[in-house]
Amino acid sequence: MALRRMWIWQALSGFLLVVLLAVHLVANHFAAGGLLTYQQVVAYLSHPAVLALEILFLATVVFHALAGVRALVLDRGVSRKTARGVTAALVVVGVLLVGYGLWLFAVIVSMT
Amino acid sequence: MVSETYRRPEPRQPSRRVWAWFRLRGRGASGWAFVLHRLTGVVLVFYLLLHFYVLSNLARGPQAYNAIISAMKSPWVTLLEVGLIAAVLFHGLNGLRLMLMGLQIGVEQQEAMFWGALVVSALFTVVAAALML
Repeated sequence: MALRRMWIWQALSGFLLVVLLAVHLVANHFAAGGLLTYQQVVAYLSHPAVLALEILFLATVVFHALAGVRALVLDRGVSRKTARGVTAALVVVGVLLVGYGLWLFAVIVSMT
Repeated sequence: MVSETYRRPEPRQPSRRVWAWFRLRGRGASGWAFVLHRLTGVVLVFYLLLHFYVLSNLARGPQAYNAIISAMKSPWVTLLEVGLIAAVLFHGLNGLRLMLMGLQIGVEQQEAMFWGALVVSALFTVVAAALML
């Protein structure tokens, strides 16, 4: 049941990622000169719209990846208690990863 | 007596072994799609973590970031990046296929869509490789 409900979120975040990843890749690696130098990255993230999109991308990709890991584990038929533990652990990992990403964005933006 | 030899069958469980993913006989295109989706998904999770680690060099200043980007220009890394593009393309396209399946759209065409996802990702990977290598 939990897996089925999660499936919808996995699909929605996946669909969003198709769009966001296309933007992320084209913007990062073609439009902005490849972001191959530190200065290019700082200049790129100084646009508020770009920053907002990248933050949305960060949260979506972390959610989608960890929901995928959760599905892999729960598919192996663990007990309800273990499943809850896995979910809780992945939530912590997700919060840490998004927190790390936001911190990195803050460091880069502060360079402008 | 029958009752002595009879054993209640074990309840059917989801497969506990990862190897069961690869038992593809008789599972057709959807079996292949399932395995490839999982494998590319696992690869992408590891890549995401690696990407986070590489980008942590941004916090260490221009020199550290520019140095790691120079190191990434090795042909071996480019080759891995081509593999990454293939994984992203297949996972994304097959993900769209799975979404359509879940919405009960084009279920009869699921096999054709799998081959479509495979062919399109292969084509775009070749184009990307030609541009990058």
